[in-house]
Amino acid sequence: MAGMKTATGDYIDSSWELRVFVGEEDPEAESVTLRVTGESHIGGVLLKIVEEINRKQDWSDHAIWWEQKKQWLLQTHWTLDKYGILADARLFFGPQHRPILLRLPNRRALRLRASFSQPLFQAVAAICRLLSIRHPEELSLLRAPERKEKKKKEKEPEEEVYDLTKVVLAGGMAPALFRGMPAHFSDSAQTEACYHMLSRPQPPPDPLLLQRLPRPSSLLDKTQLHSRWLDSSRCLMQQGIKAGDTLWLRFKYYSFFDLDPKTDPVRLTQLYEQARWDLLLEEIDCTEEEMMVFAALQYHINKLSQSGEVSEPAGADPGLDDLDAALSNLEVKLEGSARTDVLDSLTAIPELKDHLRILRPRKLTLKGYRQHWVVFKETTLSYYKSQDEAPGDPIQQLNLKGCEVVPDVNVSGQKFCIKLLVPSPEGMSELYLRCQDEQQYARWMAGCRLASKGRTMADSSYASEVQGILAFLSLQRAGTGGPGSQPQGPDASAEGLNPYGLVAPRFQRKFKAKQLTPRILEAHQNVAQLPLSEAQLRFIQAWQSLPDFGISYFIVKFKGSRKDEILGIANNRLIRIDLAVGDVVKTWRFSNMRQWNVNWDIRQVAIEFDEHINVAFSCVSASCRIVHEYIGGYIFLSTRERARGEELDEDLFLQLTGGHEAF
Amino acid sequence: MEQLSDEEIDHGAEEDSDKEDQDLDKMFGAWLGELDKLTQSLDSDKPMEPVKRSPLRQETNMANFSYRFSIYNLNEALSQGETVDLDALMADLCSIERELSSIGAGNSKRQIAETKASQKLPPSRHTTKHGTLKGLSSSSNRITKPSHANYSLEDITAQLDQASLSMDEAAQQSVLEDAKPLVTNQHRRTASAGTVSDAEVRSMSNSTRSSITSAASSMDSLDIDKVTRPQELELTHQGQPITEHAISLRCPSKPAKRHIDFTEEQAELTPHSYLDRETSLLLRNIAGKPSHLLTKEEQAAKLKAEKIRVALEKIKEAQVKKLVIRVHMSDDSSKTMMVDERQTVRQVLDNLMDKSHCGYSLDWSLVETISELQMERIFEDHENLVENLLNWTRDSQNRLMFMERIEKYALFKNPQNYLLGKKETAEMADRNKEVLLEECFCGSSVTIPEIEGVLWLKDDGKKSWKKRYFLLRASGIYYVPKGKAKVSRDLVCFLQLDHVNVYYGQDYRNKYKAPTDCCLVLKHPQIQKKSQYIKYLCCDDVRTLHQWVNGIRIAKYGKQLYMNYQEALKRTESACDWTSLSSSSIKSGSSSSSIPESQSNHSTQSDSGVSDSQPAGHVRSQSIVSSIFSEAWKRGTQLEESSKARMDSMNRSYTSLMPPLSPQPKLVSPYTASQPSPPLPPPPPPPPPPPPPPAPASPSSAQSVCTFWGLSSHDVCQVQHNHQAAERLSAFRTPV
Repeated sequence: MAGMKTATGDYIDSSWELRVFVGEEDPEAESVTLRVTGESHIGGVLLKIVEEINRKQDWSDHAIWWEQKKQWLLQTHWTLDKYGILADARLFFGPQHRPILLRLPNRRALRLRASFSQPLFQAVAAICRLLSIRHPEELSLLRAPERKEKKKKEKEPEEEVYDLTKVVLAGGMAPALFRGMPAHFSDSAQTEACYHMLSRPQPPPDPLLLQRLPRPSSLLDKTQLHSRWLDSSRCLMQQGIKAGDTLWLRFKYYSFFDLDPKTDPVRLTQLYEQARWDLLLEEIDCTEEEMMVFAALQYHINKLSQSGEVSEPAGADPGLDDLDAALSNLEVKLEGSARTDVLDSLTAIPELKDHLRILRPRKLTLKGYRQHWVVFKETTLSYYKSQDEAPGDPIQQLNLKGCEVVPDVNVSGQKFCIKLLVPSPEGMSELYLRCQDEQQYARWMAGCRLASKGRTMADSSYASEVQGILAFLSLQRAGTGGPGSQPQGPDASAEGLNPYGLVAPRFQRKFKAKQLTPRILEAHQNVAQLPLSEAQLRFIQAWQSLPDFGISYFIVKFKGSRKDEILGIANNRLIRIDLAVGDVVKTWRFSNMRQWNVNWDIRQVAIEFDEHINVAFSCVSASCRIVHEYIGGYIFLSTRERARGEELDEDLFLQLTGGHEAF
Repeated sequence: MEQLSDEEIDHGAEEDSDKEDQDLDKMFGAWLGELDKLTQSLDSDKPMEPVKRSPLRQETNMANFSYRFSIYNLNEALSQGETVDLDALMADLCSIERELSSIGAGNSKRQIAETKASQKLPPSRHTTKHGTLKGLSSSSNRITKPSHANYSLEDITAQLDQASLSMDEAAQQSVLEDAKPLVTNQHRRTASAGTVSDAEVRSMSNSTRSSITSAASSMDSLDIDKVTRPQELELTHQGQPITEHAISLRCPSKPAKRHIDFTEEQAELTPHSYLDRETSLLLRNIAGKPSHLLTKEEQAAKLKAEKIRVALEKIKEAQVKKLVIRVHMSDDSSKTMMVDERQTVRQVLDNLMDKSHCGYSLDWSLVETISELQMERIFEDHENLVENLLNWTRDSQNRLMFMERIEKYALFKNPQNYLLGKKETAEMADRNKEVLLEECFCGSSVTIPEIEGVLWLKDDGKKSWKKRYFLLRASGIYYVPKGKAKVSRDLVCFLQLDHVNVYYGQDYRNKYKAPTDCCLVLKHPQIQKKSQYIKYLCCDDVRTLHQWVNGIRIAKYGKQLYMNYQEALKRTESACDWTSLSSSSIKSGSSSSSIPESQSNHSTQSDSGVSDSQPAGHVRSQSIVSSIFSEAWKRGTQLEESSKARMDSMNRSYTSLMPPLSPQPKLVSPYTASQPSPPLPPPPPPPPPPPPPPAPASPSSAQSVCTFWGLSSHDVCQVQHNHQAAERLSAFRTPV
């Protein structure tokens, strides 16, 4: 053993003193000095250190970090010689898992322990397992951006930080479910709250905050984000991350495999949040119409999650066939108090008759609304000059089946209009119905909506439709009514509809709240029936079908070209984009790609496509490692379909994305 | 079996259109003979497809037959060519046809449902005859509904009473069983007590002919009432020369039909009327066994639910709309057939392909042409045909064409022409095509091709066209307003696609002074006349036109489109495999060496070069190609398409009809041999001919086998080519 001495105290073996600091890279940390030889195994050294420290503690997670070489000494059977460690090596004996502050896609902060010694790919996989997010290969970590305006930040109230550092995950594979959540979350009220934060959509952000947050104004700005990705094949320690640092967890690759609302509540929610923030912060552009749909979905999702209606309502399939609806309706009727008038109400033909004001918009006429006697029966709307003429021929008769029904409502202005766009062989007939009050409006609106779907007011859903509309109106009243409540107040999470929290700041500037509200409500009626997870899925899908979706931008210099250009990397192609104009110059598909090479010295990526097309570029905005990893990552993700159900092939991933260790 | 149904429908066709004024007796005799033949052959056919038929199914079939025979006998006994009986017979023919077609469907549950549907066919058919054959005695074209209903009601009641006389005691039983539904009827209709007795009589008489018990018969009584309305409709049609358009049997125009009249209301069967029906059923159920409800609540609830379900299904069944449609072929001939509202375009197409022996090709399409607006549209396979046809007006000149249109699935045969952006190469290897399709359609959301460019937009109400820069997005069509950049935020929405369909415009250079004839039209399907709500766009060339139309289709239908294609491919493939099996005797004589081999392992797919075509491991999830033959098939159509495209660019627009390219159904000609370009997929030989009637198209089958082999020899080189591609690929894979 090392440390054999003569009587005079001279060491006779080839042993030498090795100083090891205890703790996380702290210069003032306590240290122990051991006597070792080159043949000492790391395992033996570890034992000695623990003996030296002589403290009762669980040391199982500790390992030695070699600072100069930026390397963990994890092979316990290796000798010091094999590692090449000499007496001048600065070694730290510290834990492999250290706390970090994770900024989730939903912008909430979460403290947890992450592995500082495993390659990032594995560390992320472990984090995702803890958070119960499937398919961790799609996510990665980013460095947090540097804070510029220190003063402003200080004013902000301390945000709530969820803590999962104490949660230990059993070694097993999929955590068992307990009380509707993975078992490790159900330990305490805190962790339970954390799971709710993870699995439920957050309320809309404060519009003021939204305006203050940085937004990319050009393609150039959009390249910034991508320079911060961490390297998947190296560990956090090697990349200069320290305990307690803030890191962003984001979906990095825009290829979401096997998204299943039932098994993926956290993943779906976080993806939704990332998509939402992408849109709100104008990371991705969309049109006005699209924004309204996104806003309506957000509103709907928020409403559902606020009301705690997380579990799927039974049979909430929007395309539910009448049979089931009728069945459940019947069940309810029979189980409930069997009223005597049930039969009467069933045999009676439901119809609406009332005096309504009608407007038929025509070109070059300034006619306003006129009072008519309107009869609504089955799916047909007829109107007469007066009630006396009702038995005769109506002025006009419209079958509302297949028509578009658009609400035109302003609660505070006491305006309750229904805009009908009725198709007929001759074209569309436009008709505005103006109701007097909410009750009347709700009844007629519900009738119109059902009729447009080919159902009558006898349909079982009529009553609930009426209720829904009334509830909706009351929401609107709460949202816009109330004297003195500023529309941009911090109470954005309140039940009422504050449109500014739902749209990108660009639209906040362009429209007034009262202009936005009806448009969002109009879009909302198409999604009002969706359950929570379906609505989230719809949001994600709409996000995915945006033309610019899933493109990560980098500034590059193509070989043979002097100016900077943009390289966009999507899940199936590379896009060359003109920096100044923003036009697509050229697209290459991964399916045509034969191979790619990276020259780490001159930071150049060379790609060969079919038919001897060669492309080479050097990376400007980010390291070429990130570009390389993006390409390899997408290639890896496209192999998943084949390896469905198998374990994640980590080696293949690292093989496709790594390869620069040699240098 | 297909033969039979085909023949049957042919008869129907001739009768409906051409020989309306022909001697009734003669036709009647023909029908009787036909019916005889059909039922015989049906019985003899039965062992041929034992698997597909559930025992229950057979039972109901037999029941039907017995009914038929009884009517038949009745007719002989009475020997009076009375219209009603004639109609009942005609209805029988129809129901047999429907059964035949439904046998293929395989879904036993559904089959049962269809038998029920066919049971109620007689009365409905009855009125068609009234309309088309005789013009009916009632000369006034529109009688007020109640009286009219009563008229035919009595008529039918009388008829059925007569029928009941000749029936055996089995009917008595069912009457007994029917008592319950009747009770519920009364129970329910307390308001209109006067008519109850009437209903009773009817359902009693009805029950005699219903071989399925209880609840079904109560449905039957409903159907009789339904008869009345179609009749009126038919009458309005009388004045027109030929019924070129769909004639609705069950007029769907629900509005204004709800009369207090009992019969009328039952016929309507709107949701609430079935609701109260089931309630009553339930009430009866509960009243029957109160003790059960108390003790075994769960069990009772289950039972109840089950009964409601059964009743509801029957009610649904009764609501099925049917249309007699006339389908025009490209050779100016036409066929008349009946479709019900549940049938998709795919199902109708399958029927038509079976019947016209035109060969199984992906390209067969149902095309709606709106002559008044000079536009046409290929129906998508998943669409509901009846729903679409009901959009036509009564006196519509619209036509439904059955023809081969390569545009229908060109998108999937050469996706690179449609899915890639402007800046990408148009040439693409087969393997990459599939990767591309998969990328586009198989992800969690469908990728909309980036289509944008200058199009001409027609001004409302004017014959002037203006240039605009349009873009297609998933959410609709947008344009760039003047003086703005092409960024998302400044785009103006031109149209959202939810409520419009995309049509090809025809010859708009003449009609609207369009810059070119490559026009597309966007309109709500219900609009049939000129309107400001129809949007006309004009492209510079055919290629752009097709890109836009297909882009819009993708944006509108998404993944459904791809599923349609795969479904269609599966159909043609199975037909194709089957063809190769049946022609095995010829195969042995073939000189080609590689083909038998490849055919033997068409499940492994290893040799075709299509399967291992994934660079860095893209995987084809779908099993597109199951045999080398279908591959050959596809290729043939592809080549054909390209040659066609060339032709088109040379002289004429796509939208005109294309007589030389679409093979005439039932036309046996040597065109396949003489055609220079790779031939069309030849018509496969018809299904194995059932014994009794000789297959009419046997000469064509011989012909088709010949051409089939002509094609396959061409394909041999394709296979070799693919081998090379595969090798090259595997070489590629290693560097990564």
